[in-house]
Amino acid sequence: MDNLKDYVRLNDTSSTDACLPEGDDERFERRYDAYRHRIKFRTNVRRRGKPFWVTILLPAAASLLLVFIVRLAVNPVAEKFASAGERRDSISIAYREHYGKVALLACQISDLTAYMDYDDAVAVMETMDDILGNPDEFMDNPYLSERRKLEMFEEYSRREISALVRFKDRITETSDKK
Amino acid sequence: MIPSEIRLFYDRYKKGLYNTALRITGNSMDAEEVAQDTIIKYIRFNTEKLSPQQTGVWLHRACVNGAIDRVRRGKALKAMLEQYAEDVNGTDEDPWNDILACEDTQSLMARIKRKIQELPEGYRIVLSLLLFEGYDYAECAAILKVGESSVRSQYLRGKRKLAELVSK
Repeated sequence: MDNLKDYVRLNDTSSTDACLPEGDDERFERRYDAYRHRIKFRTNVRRRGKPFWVTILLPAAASLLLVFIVRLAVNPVAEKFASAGERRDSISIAYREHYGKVALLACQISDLTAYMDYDDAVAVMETMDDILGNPDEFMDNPYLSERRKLEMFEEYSRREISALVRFKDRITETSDKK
Repeated sequence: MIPSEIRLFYDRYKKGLYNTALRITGNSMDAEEVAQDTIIKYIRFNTEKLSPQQTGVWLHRACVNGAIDRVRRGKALKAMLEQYAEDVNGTDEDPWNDILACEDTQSLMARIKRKIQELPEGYRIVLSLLLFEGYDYAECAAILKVGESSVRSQYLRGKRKLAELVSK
């Protein structure tokens, strides 16, 4: 090791250090003031953070408000699609119910022709065909809403079933008289 | 108005940092500016709580770098330091053997610190870093961004020059 280096390292003390020129405290204060607004000095005292309402409540309230607004905007559209789907299901159900009843009545009427003459039986079946209409004319109409179609079909079904029931009762009366 | 804790912090470290910077810059005003900027830089950028030892090391290193940068401004420091990059004859008798044997320690140390300010800049910086800041040749070369051979030759020449000044 170098003799001078050893000597300095062993004997260097701050007592031989030069002091700062007079007025250094004031100069430091001026220099510090220039940076003061950017300084965060960590001490043992807990640093003040942002208030709770800024960091937690405000974002939470903003999130809830956003969800509420989105739901308000989306709900009418969702309802429209949902009710359209429900109406389609109702028409299908009405269809099934109607044709179930029609099939039952057609079987009953057909049974009643078992003991009729051929011509009479043919006449009965032809009459039944006349009673049974075709709802496709209004069901396929694109200008009618689903709700209107359902209403019309339900009325159509009521009338058709009613007519078939009356026809069946008349055939039954006629058969009984014979 | 400076908070009291910052004033205490400044008072604690200012003398050491000032002398470190003074040995490198050779100018009192520059040294004070470097020391104060170092302390302010620590306050601005160090958000973690460092231990006193870590704080001292950080400040010391930052002060050295700041002082070197101050010297570099407008001066071809690298060219100056590499001027004597050739090998120096190490067989000459070391004048410091006699100097270190004779003098009172405290007064000799004080004189060394005074006379080092009179050295040319290249010698002064290298001797300051090697003698007083505790760096070795490799670290000094890295700080100054020159070759290690340049640092060694500057040190030997500077040491010889300092011996002449101290002996007067």
